[in-house]
Amino acid sequence: MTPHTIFLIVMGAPYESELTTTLFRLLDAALARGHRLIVWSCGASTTLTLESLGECKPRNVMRHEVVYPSTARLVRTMMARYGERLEWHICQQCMEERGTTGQIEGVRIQPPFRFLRYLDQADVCMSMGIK
Amino acid sequence: MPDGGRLIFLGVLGAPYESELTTTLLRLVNEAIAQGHRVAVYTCGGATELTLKTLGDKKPANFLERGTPGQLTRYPTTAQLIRELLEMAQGRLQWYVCRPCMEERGALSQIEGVIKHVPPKLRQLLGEADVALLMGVK
Amino acid sequence: MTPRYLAIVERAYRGAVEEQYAHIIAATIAFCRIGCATDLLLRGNAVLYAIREQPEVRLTIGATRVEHLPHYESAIGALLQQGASVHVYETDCQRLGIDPERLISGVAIADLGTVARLIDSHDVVWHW
Repeated sequence: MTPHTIFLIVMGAPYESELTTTLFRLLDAALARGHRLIVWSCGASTTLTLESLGECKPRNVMRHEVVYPSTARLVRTMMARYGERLEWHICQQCMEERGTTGQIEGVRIQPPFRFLRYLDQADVCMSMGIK
Repeated sequence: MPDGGRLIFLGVLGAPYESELTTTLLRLVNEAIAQGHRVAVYTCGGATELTLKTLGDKKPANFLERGTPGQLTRYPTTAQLIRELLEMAQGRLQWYVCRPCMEERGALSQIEGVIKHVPPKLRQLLGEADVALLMGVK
Repeated sequence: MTPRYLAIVERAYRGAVEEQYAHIIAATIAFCRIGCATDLLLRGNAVLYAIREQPEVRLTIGATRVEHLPHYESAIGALLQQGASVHVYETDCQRLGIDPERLISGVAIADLGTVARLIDSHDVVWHW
């Protein structure tokens, strides 16, 4: 199968629906098949990659021994595993508007309409969630 | 909290930018304070983002105003508005931020004047209040 | 040929104090201004954005007069001036009791067939 460049614009907030879970599953499956993925994160999805999320969620008081990875860690590990085949972009306007300015290393903060460039480059585009 | 008026408890669970929950909340708090009541707000979930220090006091510049002559319009953030409510209330407003929710969402950097607390406080406030209202879903 | 975009907005009223100027209609205007011609289809409760004679609401919160809350009527007017088309979905207008005379001049009503044609005739469809 010829590798494609897939562009995903993610707009929805975490904790509102299964959007984030679906996004991560799509990314992992597509990357494992050799495709190149460009993610553009808008609105409240800019919280997915906050440095302040740390590596794991707060402790589960009922199961202290279990480590639950944060979304920031999941994105970091995907970037580490797949290298340049995964690009994660953050809309600067949305980031500043939501106060999500402390982003993990490796994500790229971009001016708002830069996403049009990636829209042009991609073989497949999909917008997920609403702002 | 000083005495006077009724104690109104508002538990807020919804994220900003999803509905008119935040606007409604700020209007309710403003009006209650203006009428001489005492207000306790407890924010959970996405509502812990309303008082992020990183919001600053004004929103980013309006992209439609760029290139127009004159001074850019200043749009206040929720953090700024809540700071002003705390100032206006002179002790009659307590704004709590749920610590577990705050940590779960990475909303660690909170403005001065808010009180980080644990969930049992919500139950305590519910018991003490004359009027209680839970707003939004987590 | 420059691709033509269609923005579909369905969920309405997403935070007057949070958004102020930064609502979807404003973003659509910005798209048009940078050369990405974008038309608008309003569905769900968002059809209410297209009603004439909307009040311009101002709020006082604390010491601040919040002057610039979303005013969708003027935003849609500005979008129409950019040459964009603006449609409202007929079924939602009927559900909300909105007569065609109450709509902003220049806004068109779309039945389901028109919705399908709008989607088909645009290169990029963006459901906000």
